[in-house]
Amino acid sequence: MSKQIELCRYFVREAITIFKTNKVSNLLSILSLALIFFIFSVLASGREVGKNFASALSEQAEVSVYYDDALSSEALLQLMDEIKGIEGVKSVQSISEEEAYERMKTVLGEDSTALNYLEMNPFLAFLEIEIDLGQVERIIESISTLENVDTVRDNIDILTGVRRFIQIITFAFAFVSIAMGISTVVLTSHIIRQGIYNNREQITTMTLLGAPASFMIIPYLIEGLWITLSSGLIAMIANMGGIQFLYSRMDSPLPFVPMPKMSQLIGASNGLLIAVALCLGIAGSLFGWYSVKDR
Amino acid sequence: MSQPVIQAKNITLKYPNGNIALKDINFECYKGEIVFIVGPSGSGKTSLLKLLMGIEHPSQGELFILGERVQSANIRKIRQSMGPVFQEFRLLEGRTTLENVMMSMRFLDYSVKEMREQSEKALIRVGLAHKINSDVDHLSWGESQRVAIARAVARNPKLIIADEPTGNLDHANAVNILELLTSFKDEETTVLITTHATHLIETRERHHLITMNQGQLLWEKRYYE
Repeated sequence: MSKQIELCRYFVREAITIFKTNKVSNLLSILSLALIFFIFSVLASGREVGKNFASALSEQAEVSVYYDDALSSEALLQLMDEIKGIEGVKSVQSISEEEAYERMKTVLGEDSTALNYLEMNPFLAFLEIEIDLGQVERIIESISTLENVDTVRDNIDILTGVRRFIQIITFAFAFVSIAMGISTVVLTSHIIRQGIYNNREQITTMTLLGAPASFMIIPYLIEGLWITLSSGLIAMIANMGGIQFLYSRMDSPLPFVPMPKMSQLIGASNGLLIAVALCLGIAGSLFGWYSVKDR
Repeated sequence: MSQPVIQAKNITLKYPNGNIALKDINFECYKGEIVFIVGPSGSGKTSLLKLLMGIEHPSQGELFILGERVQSANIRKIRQSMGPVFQEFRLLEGRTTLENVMMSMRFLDYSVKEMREQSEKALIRVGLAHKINSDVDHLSWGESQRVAIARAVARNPKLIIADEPTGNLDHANAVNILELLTSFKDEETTVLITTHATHLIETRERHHLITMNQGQLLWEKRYYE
């Protein structure tokens, strides 16, 4: 056991020595990678917000069904049952004229005094139907064909627009992830190749003494991991600061954007960032080593 | 005699550019021998060492070290049984003398205690007890060479190979280094030294001398037979 610990200490010491042989260049590489990772974390955070937004919007997906004024209570209940029976309908709630009036008062807030100037309640009773956003067209078509239904109103155009926007963010995230992955692997492998080049004499000596390649590669692997994880850590701190700043600014001017909890957003984007930094560090180091090991 | 430690059978080394570095070399070295390979510059000493260390492979003929035919597949195992002292020392910069010596044992089957004890013992034996924790970058030429020797012997090799260890030394220091190197010879360990300073070995009583010239083995003699 003590040999394993001593060996680990040796590998870490070697990694530090290798890092120091090209200190300035390695530090600059860490900053470059940190910037790349920060861009990635911004996209990851944006994607997380988008996902949350989409999920909240899906819950908001509803249509309003207006029916014949003269409809009896029994006929209304029957209509509600028929609507409930349509696939993709989650719930049906009857909103009376008075409830519709009260809702509008709530929406208008301080401006609701304007409603007092109206001689009578202008709002109609309707059915509020929560639906599955993915089946919206078919549901509206089915409801429209039902007896006693006057009109069906929906906010599908807005919802579809938002969904497209989120799809674009997801696509951009995927694109940036691939670009970031490639550039990180290339940069890390270049650092490792540089390290190997600078230490070629040492590697030759170790080889002539009979050291196996698996023994010689470990310090370089640690160096690569160290560089990407340091970059990831810097990006993580910047990301946390950025999110906190964003939340402090977005809270009041954009109340209609449903944001995830700050801790949840930071946890998700930073977790992803560190996992990606770890994987890319290993991949970059191995790629760097194997590209020069036979020379 | 026991199985040879080194057995060269009709070895020829021809480089891709057509130069023939070694031609039809035959010799054998045994356990516990002190072997000197001498010859002027360009005689093929370094090329022969390259073959012994597995840096090059014979174009023709066969080379056996410690009973194993030298080839890419087993060269690492053979190298682990050898203790090379390189002409340019090849110490690892930025490390202590102890770390340099221990480094050659880290990938072998030694415990931490054994590694440390054997490395310290080797450094004491080469006269560097007071420099154990010194950075090798601050050592003199002679001290660096002694670290290289300590690194070669610390892991109890069966074959110590030293390439021109007297190359840049004055007479007194060269004699000291040869004395030091040959002192590691025992029943189990063979010491092979290349040098062009033949005057340093003329006075030695028991050794195996191989003289080379223009890539060929000129003559060979054991001075204890």
